[in-house]
Amino acid sequence: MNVSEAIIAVRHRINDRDEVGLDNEEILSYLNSAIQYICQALATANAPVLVDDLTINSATATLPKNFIKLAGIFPTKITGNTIKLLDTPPQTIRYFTAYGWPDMNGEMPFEQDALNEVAVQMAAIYANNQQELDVSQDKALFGEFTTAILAAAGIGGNGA
Amino acid sequence: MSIAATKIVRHIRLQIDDFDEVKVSDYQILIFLNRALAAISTAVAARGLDFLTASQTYSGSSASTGANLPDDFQTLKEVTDGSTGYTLTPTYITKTPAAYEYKVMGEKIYCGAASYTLFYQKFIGPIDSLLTDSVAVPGYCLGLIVQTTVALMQGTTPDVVVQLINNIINTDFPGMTYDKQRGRVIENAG
Repeated sequence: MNVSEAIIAVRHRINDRDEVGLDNEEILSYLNSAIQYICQALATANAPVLVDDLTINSATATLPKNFIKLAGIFPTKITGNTIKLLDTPPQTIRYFTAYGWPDMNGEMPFEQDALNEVAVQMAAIYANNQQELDVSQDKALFGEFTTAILAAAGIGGNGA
Repeated sequence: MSIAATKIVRHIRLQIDDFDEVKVSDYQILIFLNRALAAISTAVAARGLDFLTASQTYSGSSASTGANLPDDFQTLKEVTDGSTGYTLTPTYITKTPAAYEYKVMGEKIYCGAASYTLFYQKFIGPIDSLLTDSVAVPGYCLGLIVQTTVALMQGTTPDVVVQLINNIINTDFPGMTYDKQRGRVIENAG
């Protein structure tokens, strides 16, 4: 799914097909917020789709910008944006990474369309909320969808 | 007679449901595996099981200077004379051993015999690499190593771990051992 398709999908959900309510830039910002939120949720649930690895060849290094947390414990000490190896380099760490922000012409970051669909759903709720519409029913539905999707992906909310 | 560390890690990751390496790193497994091997070494040696028994032969008397114990020495089983094969006698810590005596002090063995063989319970591990190393124990120890490592990773208290090790030895290990004093195979005393 590319970003323009996602924006159209959001417009369908908020009944703004004619682009009279929100402009594309605003919807894109909601989509990006949703993507960041989903990444945090997936990292909390220890989802392997977010794991990346990094070989550090010096005693200290700068953390990657998209670093969320380490996947397990490694002999390292993190201070601010610096990671220091407690053992002799090189050492390879595994960590959860957040996806970058796509622009208007880009692709949605998740390979799985189910996750992109969650992002669209969330962006629609953000958009309706911005317009001061009642989103309580949307939130309830969204909670159920998210639980169902994570369960289908074999990812429990407790990291199991 | 050894189990590859890669095989042990595979079983541990299966047990904790983490083939994706998202919950536990290999570094953690290495640390806890070595702790488990230490605990197992102690427990197995305490029960006198045969597969940890090793020997080292020394030539030349070490009555006054002493000779270094093996690096993997844990507990002493027996010292025999190199020429006659007779069992030598432990002596007082303050005495210089005669030709038929020995003593262990610090990291050295002192023995008056011209040559002698030390039989001891060796210490298993530690290993340095999960990719290339192996653990020198029989295959039936796999379950014991896996369960002990997982228990330690889950924060099980030491007394419970010792109980767990003894329970698994009772169920997983072959029940017979060679008893040197009786000169025949007997049931493990437990």
